[in-house]
Amino acid sequence: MTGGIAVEWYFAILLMFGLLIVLMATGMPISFAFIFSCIIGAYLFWGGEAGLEQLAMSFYSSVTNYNFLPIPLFILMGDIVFTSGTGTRLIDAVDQILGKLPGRLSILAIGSGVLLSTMIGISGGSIGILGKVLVPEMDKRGYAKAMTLGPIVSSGTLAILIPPSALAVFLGAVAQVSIGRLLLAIIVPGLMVAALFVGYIIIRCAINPALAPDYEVPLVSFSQKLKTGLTQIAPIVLVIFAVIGSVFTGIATPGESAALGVIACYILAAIYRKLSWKTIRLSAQDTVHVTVMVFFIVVGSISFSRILATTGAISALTHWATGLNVHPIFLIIATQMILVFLGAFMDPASIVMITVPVFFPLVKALGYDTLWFAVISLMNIQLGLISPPFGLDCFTMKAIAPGNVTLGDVFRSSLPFMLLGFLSMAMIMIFPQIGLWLPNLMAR
Amino acid sequence: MKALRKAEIIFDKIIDYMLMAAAAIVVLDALAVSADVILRKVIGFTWAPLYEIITYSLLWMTFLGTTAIMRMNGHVKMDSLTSQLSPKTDALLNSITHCVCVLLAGVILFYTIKLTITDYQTNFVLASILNPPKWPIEIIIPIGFFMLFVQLIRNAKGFFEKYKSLSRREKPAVDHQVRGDKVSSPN
Repeated sequence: MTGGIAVEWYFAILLMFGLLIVLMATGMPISFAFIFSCIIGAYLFWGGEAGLEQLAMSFYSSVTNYNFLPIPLFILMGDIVFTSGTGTRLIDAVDQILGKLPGRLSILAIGSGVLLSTMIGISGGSIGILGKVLVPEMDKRGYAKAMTLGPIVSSGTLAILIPPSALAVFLGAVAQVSIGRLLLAIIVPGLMVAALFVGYIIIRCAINPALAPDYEVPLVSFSQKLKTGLTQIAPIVLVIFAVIGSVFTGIATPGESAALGVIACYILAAIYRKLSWKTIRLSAQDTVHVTVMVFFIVVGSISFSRILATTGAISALTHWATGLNVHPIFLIIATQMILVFLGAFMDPASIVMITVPVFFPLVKALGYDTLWFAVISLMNIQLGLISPPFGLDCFTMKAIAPGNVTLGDVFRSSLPFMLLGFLSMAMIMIFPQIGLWLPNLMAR
Repeated sequence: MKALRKAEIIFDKIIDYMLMAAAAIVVLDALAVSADVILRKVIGFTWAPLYEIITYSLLWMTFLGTTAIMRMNGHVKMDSLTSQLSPKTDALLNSITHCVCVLLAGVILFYTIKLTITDYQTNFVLASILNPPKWPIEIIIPIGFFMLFVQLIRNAKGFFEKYKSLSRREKPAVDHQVRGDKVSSPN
């Protein structure tokens, strides 16, 4: 780019990020805060009016990107499950199969959360379903808030870690990490987190049974359980194969697998006799709401990273950071601490758009695997959704919880699960193979 | 006043239709891509331009749907600080930020119109399988920003009216308090 003013790299970063954060703090829509910063940045660094024309051009190329296709489609899958009532049916089925266990309903929340996550691409979707179905039942059984709210909120965040994950696609597309490999790389960490949650519930309820009082579980014969499994849960295999299996076997690209996933969800809703025109229309409209929110941030923010790149700020920052006399892992930890901090205040899409242009070149320069970094970053962002003071999923939970539940209750209940999430993240930082072996298996 | 209200009703209808079109795009994308995968696997047929059309559809979906989201104030905000403000101050701040957004939308509207006209006049063609002229694809950007421009004005006006009504409600309470103070004054 020619004609712009030449400034020190740290001035460019300070100006662009400073302006963005101040505008965001005023409550301006984040997409417009990006557009404002871009107008100023384009005018200064891209050469006045020519820069603004260039900015207008970049709006066109912002979302005309085939890699973004899975985002609306993964979100649509979740909306079909939610609108059609398929999710409620699934919880009932898992409830029948699950035997007598300490903290049974809390485990039911996590188990159902995992299954719902195979069909729901965004966090928050399954919290709505689980919260409405399970909270009244848990309340009736005398479950403590810690065992009611925590498991539901935390299982909601699994939607980010188990494919289909719209945020994984978004991160992959922006960071230019293979989306197919990333979707496979998050499966084992996602299941590991779920297993840790279940383990924690069992141990805590065994130590203190008052948290989740025992109750008589209706006796269900093995043949009945088998029947429920085959008729109610087995059809989900169709969705899992459409989304994960098709990518793993190389039948479809992530975009195509998302489309197949949508069709599988329609078929599933039809099998359960829940498919109607109303379901199709409402789910599609809800999808547009969420997708447009994300894509409009992309419209504003793609130019933001381009402007920063053309000022030389990103490469200078990377050069500066790699020249520091510290072990590279401390820089990785620093990036994760920034994500934790941002996660407490911002929505995931904005965090991705702000940090990816800076973090990923740095990670590459430090010689780390960007796929591994994408996995731990996703886990971190997912934890931001349940972290105080502004974890979005906690607000969702508060909205559907009974009136006597305070936001403080929700945050306190989710805290142990958040710590378990950080523990899993640390394990993946130390043992990258937890995330990498499945995509490497596919490569073979 | 009546004409303005009628114009608003028509504007809202247009937004609704745009939202429906955006929703239809999502479903059609899913159906088309699935059909393509199945046809490719079953009879080895694939329609290559489909993927190009899908990328354009993402742009259209975004700009068709964005005004509906703005109408319901659904665009993501970082409201952690502003939620601490009183409703009156919050309404005033929202009104100001929306006025700034009107200006921004105006600037972008101007430059995207200029770009679309230039591409139309120079018959700019995209280098791709279909080689389509660019302007019919990008025209949705100025259309979207025009709709946003109008909607942002409505939002700014709405927030300002909220601010005024909250101020009015506060004023009698303050007057009453002042009168009460006088009555209950020990002197």
